[in-house]
Amino acid sequence: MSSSSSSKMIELRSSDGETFHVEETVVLQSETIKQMIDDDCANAAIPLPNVTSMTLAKVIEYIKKHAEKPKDDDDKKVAEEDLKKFDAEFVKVDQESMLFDLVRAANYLNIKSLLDLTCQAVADSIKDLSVEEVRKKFNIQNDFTPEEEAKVRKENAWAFD
Amino acid sequence: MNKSRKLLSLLRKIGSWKNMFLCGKKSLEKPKLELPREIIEWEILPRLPAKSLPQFMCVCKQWRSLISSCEFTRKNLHYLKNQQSLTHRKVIEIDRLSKTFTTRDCDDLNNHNLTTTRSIPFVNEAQKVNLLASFDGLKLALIIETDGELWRDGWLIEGVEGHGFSTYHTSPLTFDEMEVLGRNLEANKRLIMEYLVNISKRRAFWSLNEDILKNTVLTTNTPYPSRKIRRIRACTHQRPQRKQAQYAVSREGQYAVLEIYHDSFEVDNPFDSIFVCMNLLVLVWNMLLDSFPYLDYLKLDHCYLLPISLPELFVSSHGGSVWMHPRSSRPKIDNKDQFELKGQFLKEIRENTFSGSDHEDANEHIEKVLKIVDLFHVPNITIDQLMLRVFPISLTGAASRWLRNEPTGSIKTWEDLKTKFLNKYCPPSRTVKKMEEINNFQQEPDETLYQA
Repeated sequence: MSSSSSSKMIELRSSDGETFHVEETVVLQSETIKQMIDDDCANAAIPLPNVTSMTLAKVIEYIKKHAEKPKDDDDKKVAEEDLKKFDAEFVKVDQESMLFDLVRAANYLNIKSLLDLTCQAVADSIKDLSVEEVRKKFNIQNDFTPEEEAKVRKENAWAFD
Repeated sequence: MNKSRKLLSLLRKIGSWKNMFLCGKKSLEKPKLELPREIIEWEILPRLPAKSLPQFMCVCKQWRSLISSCEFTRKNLHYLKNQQSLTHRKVIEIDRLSKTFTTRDCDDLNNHNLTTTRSIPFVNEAQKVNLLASFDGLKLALIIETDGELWRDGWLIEGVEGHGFSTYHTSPLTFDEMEVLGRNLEANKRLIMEYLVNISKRRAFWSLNEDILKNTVLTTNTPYPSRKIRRIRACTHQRPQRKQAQYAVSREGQYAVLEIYHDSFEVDNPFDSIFVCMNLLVLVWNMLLDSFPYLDYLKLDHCYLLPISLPELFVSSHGGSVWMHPRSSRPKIDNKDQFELKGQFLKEIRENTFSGSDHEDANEHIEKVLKIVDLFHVPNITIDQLMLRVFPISLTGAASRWLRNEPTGSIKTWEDLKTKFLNKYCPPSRTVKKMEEINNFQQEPDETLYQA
């Protein structure tokens, strides 16, 4: 990690005003910030009005881990395993709101791998829920009339068993 | 560097304390759990396993149309393919070149010592294996034996122990069972067929279409507005191909139009493997849609042995309960004499329909249709060609079902149709009955004069 000392530091500011210093090479995983740097807007702190400091800290933890480069092939295998374990642990958050925050942040910062990871986690968490629970979770209005809903349910009756 | 790291972790700690505090306050106010709609719909939903999706169609209208859309299915399949190694305990890989299949545990994907390699039991040098579909550790492969010009085909369906389906009411085959199957393929076709049905029962349908099928289900259509019509497309490529065949099937007032597209197989070759496989898949699809009884479907094994056309499949499997609407029984019109029915003409016909209920007069209906046809002169077309097309349009309800139920090819001319129609809806017996009713007219005690 000593070589990275030469790397430029980028300053990020979360919605609640906290600043984070991250190496440029790490932060380039975010397409949004990469674009900003390319456009030369990153001289001062980059404001991220949609991301809270807690979420941002998590995101930075993630991109730092994923920026680590293994030295040789043996190391690579270990690192991959390690990364997999890290990913699995990473999405085990206590609060659902945190996971949703991460999805939003990943979307806003445009970090594809993080978006994949978190969306998959959300998908895994809802796959066994009932229709009512899904509606509640995503705050979706049921716009079927009772008759229509009964009909749709009947059509897909083979899936409800 | 180390300093900055320490600083950062310190900052992070402070940040998380602060946020724990903030969050605590927030949750007291109002939990904010909302995600942008497009993220839910295009990033989260497509990652769901096939079994949850049909259920979630009931969540709201938007989700319903979304989940049945083509684009969504494609995205869903894409994700399912990528995550297969994560969600299932075993993966089977078929190596076409060495004709072996390999199973490995998902937990040890990189550990080659734990893999089991077997040669595909009933494949010899002259055969080619096409992997058609895979789902939850099940693989469906088509074995094509090329023997000069003659094509023969067989199915290889593989099951993996403990692939998550064992909780369902049908027990999947184990590898050993598969090998027994493989040794005696001819005798076990019924079993293989049954297994295919089991796969379909297990929602495998969603991935069966991955490579060879693309289907869309639309529930709106014009010709029969009062009933639900589904349009099912089966094609061998993602790009639209030349339409190979189109069939309409109906069952208890539900209609389905099956369109089969293809790119590279012989039209008249009854042994065409892809066509056979489509027949089966279309059947499976239809079975899913209409929840055909499982046992009914199993009677189809002979159809598998000798591939026959789709209409025959339907007729032979479901007797009178499924009718085909055979397009070929209509007299052919040469290309040069192509004609077009004008909108106004069709409108007139549709406004003068006949449903077969008691108060309608069959004779009068024929008169009416003939009159309309007379108004719109169509050159180069015989009365047979014209009326056999126009008259069915004018029928609705029970009468239309009656016509579809008539055996294929039994109606060749307008005279045939007219006679049959009058026999059905204006038979001498019915006239006599009506006369009797009129003669014996009397007002029942609790009837008003009008009702009587």
